[in-house]
Amino acid sequence: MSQPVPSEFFVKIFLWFCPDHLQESILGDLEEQFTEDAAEIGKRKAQFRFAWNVIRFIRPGILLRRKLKTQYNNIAMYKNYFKIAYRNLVRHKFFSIINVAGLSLGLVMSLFIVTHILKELSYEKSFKNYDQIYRLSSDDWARIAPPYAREFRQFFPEAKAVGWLFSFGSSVISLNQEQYFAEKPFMADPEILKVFNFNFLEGDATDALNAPGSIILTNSLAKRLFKDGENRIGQIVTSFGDRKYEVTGIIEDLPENSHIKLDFIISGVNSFISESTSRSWSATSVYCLFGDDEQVANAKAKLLDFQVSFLGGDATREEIISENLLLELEPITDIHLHSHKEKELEANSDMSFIYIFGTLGIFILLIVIINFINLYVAQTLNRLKEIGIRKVMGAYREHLIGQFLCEAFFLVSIAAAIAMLIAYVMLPFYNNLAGITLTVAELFSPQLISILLLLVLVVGSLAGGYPAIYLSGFGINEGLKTRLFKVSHKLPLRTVMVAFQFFISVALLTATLIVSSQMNFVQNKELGFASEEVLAIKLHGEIFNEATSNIDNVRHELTSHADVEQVSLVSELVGNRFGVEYFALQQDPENTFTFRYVFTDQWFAETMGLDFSDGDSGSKNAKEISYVLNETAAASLQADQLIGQQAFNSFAETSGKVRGIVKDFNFTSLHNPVEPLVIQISNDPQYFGYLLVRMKTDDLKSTLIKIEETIKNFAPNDVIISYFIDDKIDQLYRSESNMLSVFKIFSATIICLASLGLFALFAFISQARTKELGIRKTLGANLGQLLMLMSKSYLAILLTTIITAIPLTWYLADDWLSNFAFRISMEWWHFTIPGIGVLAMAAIAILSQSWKVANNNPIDSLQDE
Amino acid sequence: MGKTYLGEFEELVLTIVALLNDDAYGNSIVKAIKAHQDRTVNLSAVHVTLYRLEDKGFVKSDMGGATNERGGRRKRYFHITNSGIALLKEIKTSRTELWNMIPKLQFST
Repeated sequence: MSQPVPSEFFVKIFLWFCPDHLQESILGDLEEQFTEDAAEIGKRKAQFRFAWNVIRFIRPGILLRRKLKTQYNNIAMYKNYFKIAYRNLVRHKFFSIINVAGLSLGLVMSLFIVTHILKELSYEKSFKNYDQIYRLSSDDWARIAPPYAREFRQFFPEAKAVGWLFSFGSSVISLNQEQYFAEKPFMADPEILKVFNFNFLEGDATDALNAPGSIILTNSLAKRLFKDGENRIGQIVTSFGDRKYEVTGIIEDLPENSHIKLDFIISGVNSFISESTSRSWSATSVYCLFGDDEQVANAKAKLLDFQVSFLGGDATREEIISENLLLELEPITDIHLHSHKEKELEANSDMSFIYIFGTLGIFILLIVIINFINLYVAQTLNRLKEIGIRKVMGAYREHLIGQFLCEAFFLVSIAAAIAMLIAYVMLPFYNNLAGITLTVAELFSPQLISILLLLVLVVGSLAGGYPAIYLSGFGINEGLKTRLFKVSHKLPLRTVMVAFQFFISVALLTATLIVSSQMNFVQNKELGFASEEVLAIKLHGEIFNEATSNIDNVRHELTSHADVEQVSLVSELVGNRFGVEYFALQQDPENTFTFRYVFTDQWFAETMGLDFSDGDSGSKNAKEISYVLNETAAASLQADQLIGQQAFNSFAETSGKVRGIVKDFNFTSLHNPVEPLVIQISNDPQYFGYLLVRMKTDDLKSTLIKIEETIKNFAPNDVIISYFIDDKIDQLYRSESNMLSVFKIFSATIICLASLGLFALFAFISQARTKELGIRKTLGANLGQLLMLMSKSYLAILLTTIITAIPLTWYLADDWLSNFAFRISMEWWHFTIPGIGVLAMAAIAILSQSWKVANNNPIDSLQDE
Repeated sequence: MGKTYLGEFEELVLTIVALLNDDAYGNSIVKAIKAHQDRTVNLSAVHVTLYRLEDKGFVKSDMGGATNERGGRRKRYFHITNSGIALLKEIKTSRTELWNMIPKLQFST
C-alpha cells in the first residue's frame, strides 16, 4: 500500500524558513500528524491541514532560533575570514594591487564626475524662492530694453517683484585715492533686492538701493577696500571716473553656482538706464519673482498682450509672432544649462556636458565593476581547493558565501577609502583642469558619501556574490580533484564585457583626438588680424582722460619706443561679440541693416593688422565720422560703389562717409561665421573703453615695463589694467578646452582600465587552459601555434568592436563639430590611430599572459593533481 | 539566578513532559494534552514552548533512532531535568500553601 506523502512544495517552504537543526524533528512530527490525518479524514483534507500547520510554524519562536545560533559561530569565523582575506591579498600582491588600484581609480573619477554634475545642477538653488524667479528676455538676446522692467511691473502687478540688472564690464573702484580693480560691477533697480534675497551683512535690503548714488559691496570687495572693517556703512567710494557713491550695504559674496557674479551694485535710481526710453536697446537683464506657479502660467499667457502694448504701433500682433519678437519667461534655474543667448551675464554651460559627463561616469563605473569582478573571480578560482577543504571541515554553503562576500567587501572598502583619499588630494588638480571650483565639502557631501557607500555595497555584493554562489556550489570532490578543468574557458559574457570596454576606449580616444584637432585648429587659425603682441589697456579715471583728450601725445610717447608700432582707441575688444546697431546708405535710407559695430579711430586697422581690400581708414586728421565695412557687410549692402557713399547709423544718430572695406576677420569666436561689421571711426571719447598697443618685440617683459612707465607718466595715480588680445581670444574656447583636458584624463583612465580588464580576462583564461596547453605542448605544438590558439579569437572580437565604434563616434563628433562655423573635417587617421593604438595595447595584454603560459614547462602544469 | 516563572501553557507542557516520561516528543505531547485536558493545541505552539523550556534548562532533548513512519525522520525526545522537577514541585507547594490560606467559610455554604 502506498503511503500518502505531504505536499513537496510546503516541505520546501518549511525547509527554507526553518533553522537546520530543528528541521528533522519538526518535519517528522508534521509528517506523522499528516499520516494520521490522512488515515482519519482523507488525503485532501490532510494536505490542507499539513500546509496550515507548516504556516503556523512561521513564528518568531522558530525563525529567530536560527539567528541566535549563527551569531555565536560567526564572530570567531569572521576573524578567520579576514585573516584569510588578508593572507590572500598579500600572497597575490600583484593582482591585489592592480585590482584595488583599478577600482580606486574608477571610484575617484566617478566621485569627481558626480560632484561636478551635482554642482552644475545646483545653479541658482541657493537663492530663496529660486523656483519662482524668472528671467524676462527675448528669444535670442538675454537682455532687453530698460523700459521693459517698469512696464511689465505695471502690466502684471500680481508679480511680487520685477527688477533689472545692468552689467558694466570691469571697472575700478577707489577709496581715499587707493584704487581697486572690480571685475563685475552692476547697476540695479531697487526691486532687484526683492527678487534675490542677497544676504545682507550690514545695511538693509529694503532701502539699500533706494537713494541715487548708493552702492552695495560684496564682502570680499569690502574687505579689500576697508582693511579694518570698521564703520563701512556711510563711507564714500569713487568709481566710474570720479563719481561718488555712499556705501549702504555689505552683502555676502554670491555663491559660485549662480550665473550672476558681482562685485558691487550701484543704485539705478535716476540713472541713464532708468531714464532710458529706447525700446530697442538690449541692455538690462530683467528678473521677476512670482508668488506661485499659477501666476507664472498667467504671466506667460499674457506675454503676447504685453509685447503688443509695449511695442505700440511698431509691430502688430502678427508681426510679433512671425518675426519672433515674443518675449519669454525662463526659470533662472534653466539659465546655466539651457540658455545660450547673446549677452548672457556669463558664458553658460550646456546640458550636453552633463549628459556626456554622466555617460562617461557610468561607463567608467561599469568598466571598473566588470574588471573588479573579473579579476576577483579569476583569483578565487585558484582557491577551489581551499573551498573543498573548508567543506570537508564542515563549512556550510552559507559560510562560504559569507566568506567570499566578506573578502569582497574588505577589498572594495579599502578601494573606496583609497579613492576618497586620492580624490581629496587631487581635487585642486581636477578643479584646475575642468575650470570649476569644487570644494572639499561638496566632494564629501552626505549625498556623495551615501552614493559611495551604495557603490561599495553594489560592487561588493556583485564581486563577492558570483564566486560565493558559483564556487561554493561545487561538490567537495570537484573542488579537491579537478583543477579548473571543468570551468569553461569560453565565457561569452565576460568576453562581451571586455569587448564593450574596448568599444568605449576607442570611441573616447577618437573623440579626444578629434576635439583636440579642432581645438588646435581653432587656436592656430589665421584670424585675419594680428592677435599676438597686441596689448589692451583699460581706460578709466585719469588714463581715460589722458588717452581720449591727449591721444596724440600718448601715441607719440608710446611709439617713441622702438618696439611699439601703433596705438589706437577702441570701444570693445576683439573676441567680445560686438553689439549691433543700424546701418543704412543715404541713397537708400529705407533699407536699414542690423550690423555689428565697433567704435574706434583711424589707427585701428593699422594697430590690429587688418588688410584693406578697398579704400582706407580715411585721413588721420579727419574729425568727421566715417565708416569702414568688412567684406561681409559690403556684400550684404549690394551697392555698386560703396567708397565715398554717405551712410548713417540711426541708432547712434551718426552719419558719415564709407571710407574703406577690410577683408573679413574673425572678430569673435570661431563658433560663429563672420558677421557683417561696421568699424565706425569717430573721435567721440564716450565710446572708448580700451587703448590698444601693437608691439613688435623680442623682449616682451621690458617692452611691457616701458609701456607701463609711459602710461604712468600720464596718469601717475591710476592702476593699469591690461590684457593680451590673444588671452581674451583663448577664453572664448575655455569650456571646450576644459572639456578637452577632462576628456584626456578620462580617456587615459578608461584605456588603462580596459587594458587591465583584458589582462585580467587573460589571466583567467590562461589559468583555465594551463593543462590543455601543457598537453598540446607535449603533443608537439610550438610556441607560435599556442599563442595563435590563445589569442586569435579575441583579437578578432576586438577588431570587430573597434570597427563598430567608428560610425557612432563619427556621428557624435560631427554633431559636436557643427557647433563651430569654422571646423576641421574628420580625417581617416582620427579613427585609425586610436584603433591601432588600442589594438596594440590589447595585443600586449593578451600576448604577455599567453606567452607566460605557453612558455611553461608542460611538466609543471600537468603534474599538479 | 533570579526566580523563574512559567506561563500557564509552559507549565502544562512541562508537566506533560514529566508525565510522558521517556516518550515525550511533539506529537505525543499534543495528543496527551488532548487526552488529559480535552484541549486542542497546535504543534507549532508546543514546539516553540519546548525550545523555550530547553533554553531555560527545565527540559533537555536528544534525537531518537530512525523510524519507519514519518519519512524515516528521527524524533526529538524531551526529558524533564532535575531543575524542571524541582520547579514543578515548587509550584505545587506554593499552590497548596495558597489553597490552605483561602478562608474556610468558602466551603461552608
